[in-house]
Amino acid sequence: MHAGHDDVRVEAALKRSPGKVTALGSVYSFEAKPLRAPAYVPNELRGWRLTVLKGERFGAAFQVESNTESRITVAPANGSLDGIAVGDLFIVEETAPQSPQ
Amino acid sequence: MTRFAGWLLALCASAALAQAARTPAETVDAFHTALRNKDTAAALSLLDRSLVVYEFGAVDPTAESYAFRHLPFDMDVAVATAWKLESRRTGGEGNERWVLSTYRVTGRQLDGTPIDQTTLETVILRRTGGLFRIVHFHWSTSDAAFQARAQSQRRQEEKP
Repeated sequence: MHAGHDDVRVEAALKRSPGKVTALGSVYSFEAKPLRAPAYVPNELRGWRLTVLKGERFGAAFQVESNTESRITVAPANGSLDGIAVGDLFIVEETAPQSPQ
Repeated sequence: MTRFAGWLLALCASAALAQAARTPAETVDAFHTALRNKDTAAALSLLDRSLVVYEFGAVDPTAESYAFRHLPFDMDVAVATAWKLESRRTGGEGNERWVLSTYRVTGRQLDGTPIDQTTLETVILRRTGGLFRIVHFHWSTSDAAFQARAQSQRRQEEKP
């Protein structure tokens, strides 16, 4: 995967999948649409990090517990998705847990 | 330690990174560290919601716009290159401060082309709730050819 930064082209640091919230679900799940693919592959995002990029929960991060073609469920231990709204944007990134500094 | 417990610790570390950034210069350095660590949440935690970014001739008028359009690419560049701080001046007073920095940025592009340029950075910060957060970035480069190519490319992107 490549990434562009003006005319600089470097390796992408992470696999990423930006998406949009299309409907609310339970306190730990919502319906979503990936912006670079027609649908998610079931459980392809399991263990990935989801960070909210637009909306009331801007900057909040969660771990994806599971996903279907159109629904994402996050792990309860990161707190609820309270405040998430239809139209919010997020990014899901494949990343291993980082050790505390 | 389970993978999940490790992830939870990582979240706590992200929050700690934001909380630990006290001075304006430390906040700027923490932002670059977060990018290099591929820690999106930590980077966002250092941004004020009123952020405006000027980057090589492009404008991100909101924090959301920057987070969605350019932060991932800035993270890629941060990971692929080395940024050496060459000069820094700080100023301002009270809750409004500025940090001016120059960096020598080196590395290689995918095709092997070397990256070796000076990046100029202006950062304005505002203190709210006892913490400095970034309200403005302006990045440019001393490489005139690079700047011209970037601005030309931006103009092409902006054509209807």
